[in-house]
Amino acid sequence: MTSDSLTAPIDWVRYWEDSYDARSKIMFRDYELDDWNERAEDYSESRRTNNYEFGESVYSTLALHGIVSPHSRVLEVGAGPGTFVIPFARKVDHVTAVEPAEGMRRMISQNALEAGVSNYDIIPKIWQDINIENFRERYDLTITSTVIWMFRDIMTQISRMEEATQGYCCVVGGVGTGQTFEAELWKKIMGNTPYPQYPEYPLIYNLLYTCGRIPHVRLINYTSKRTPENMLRMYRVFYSIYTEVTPEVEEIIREALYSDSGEEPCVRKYRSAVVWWNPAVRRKELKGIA
Amino acid sequence: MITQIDWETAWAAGINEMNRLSTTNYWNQRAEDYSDMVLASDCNHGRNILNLFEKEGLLRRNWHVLDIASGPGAITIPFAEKVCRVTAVEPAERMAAALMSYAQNRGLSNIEIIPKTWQEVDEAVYLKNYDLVICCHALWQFSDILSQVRRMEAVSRGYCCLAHGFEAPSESRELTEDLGIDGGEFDQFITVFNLLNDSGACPNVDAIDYTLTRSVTSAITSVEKLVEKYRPLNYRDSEMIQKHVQNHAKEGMYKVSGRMGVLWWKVA
Repeated sequence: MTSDSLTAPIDWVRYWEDSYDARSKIMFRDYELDDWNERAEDYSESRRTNNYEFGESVYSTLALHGIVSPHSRVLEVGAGPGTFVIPFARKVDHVTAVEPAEGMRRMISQNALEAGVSNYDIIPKIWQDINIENFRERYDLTITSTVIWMFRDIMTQISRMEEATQGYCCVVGGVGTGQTFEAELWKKIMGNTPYPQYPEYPLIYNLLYTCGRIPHVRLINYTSKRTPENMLRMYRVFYSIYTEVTPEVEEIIREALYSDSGEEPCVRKYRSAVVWWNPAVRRKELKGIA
Repeated sequence: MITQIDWETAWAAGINEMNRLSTTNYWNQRAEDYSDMVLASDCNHGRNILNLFEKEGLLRRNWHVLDIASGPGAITIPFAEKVCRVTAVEPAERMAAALMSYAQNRGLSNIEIIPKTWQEVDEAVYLKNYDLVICCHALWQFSDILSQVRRMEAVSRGYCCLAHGFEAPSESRELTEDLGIDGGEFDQFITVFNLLNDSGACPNVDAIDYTLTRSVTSAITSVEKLVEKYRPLNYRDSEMIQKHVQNHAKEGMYKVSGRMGVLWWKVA
């Protein structure tokens, strides 16, 4: 490899697409809406941990930097069980959740009722089906987490999120914490098949930077707590994407969970990057006199 | 096809190529105009980095800050005005003298200088000695950057911070394009960003705006030296540079705005 090729800019969009395609290649079947209905309960339990610690940390981070305020109208893309709907609705003017899975929407309503928030609405669609013309600049913040890996045409979808806001965009992406549980379980079930990548961070930063945005990043730590039954439900869905979940596979998952947490709830420490930017501000390339 | 990128090797290749052009001699020649710019700009980018730590609620009056490759004090001076002590690592005598003279003019007596390169500093002597270790605009000095970052982490009991320009002022872009200067494609900021993430440091990231102010003479000298990095300066170049700087100057001062990327993280 020449030094030129080592320092030449990387085509991050292509890198993203290749990563998406590599995952698709080892999939036994594609994700369906029913998978997310099945995941609603465990996902909700995870997001509710420590009174919505994850969503609250993201809110505090954005509020500290003036990205959200009590007057903000927020659009959450792929809201799941109300990841940001509940913690944000407590403090902002209004939250709109885009969520296609009925099970997840039920969880949003249930969680909102329990939290006493009603300043939200739900659009029951997948993000790609939304006609952006109806939403142009209607929000002060468009936010999403654990969703962008589903978009092969990542920059098209990012641009659409930008079109919906007159303020900021935010993507919250998982950061590897070096936990070995997932990789070890995968090896027991899938052998030498490479572990599928769900790229979020820092890949999304590279994409945004290359495409001229000026993102800011804060790292947050949070905890997720789920019952063994909910963990099993999650893994059952996950592995069904890559193989047939036979009674033997279920037994491997049960054993791994039991040796990890016994009969107690499974507690995981995670780290995420809160990445936000103002779509109206663009970066010029660094050439000239710095 | 997804390939794993070796950011350390990419960094070393980029820096080695850059340093082939920007020799120590080049920077010695730039010392005067660079000092002039930092002082005339009232340490603008350093103040903005200080503001960042203040806004985050992290800055403490009792901090001891280590400023690596301080130059004439763009970082050292604003921090020394707010914290109890700043140590500047600066081997170039002229830079260090400019820094101390500036400090004296400001009535600052809480600055000390280690007159060495960062590589020459024995980190074992300073283990966990500083609350913030910062290196701004000087990453090009380290082709083995990860080793040097690890040494910075070793002497920090609080935070580490690396800062580098990621957007050139539009005015100077225009001029360098007219002069036919191509600085190459190596992007220090994004390379070190990825290198840190790969190494597990996972920095927070900010972009700060800054304004550089310098005298007309200083601005002309800096561009002339830049051209000489690539080719001998000719009459046409000098004319173009003078015309550009004069046209953009106001009351004898040449002012441009740029943007800097700031990577900072808490040391474990």
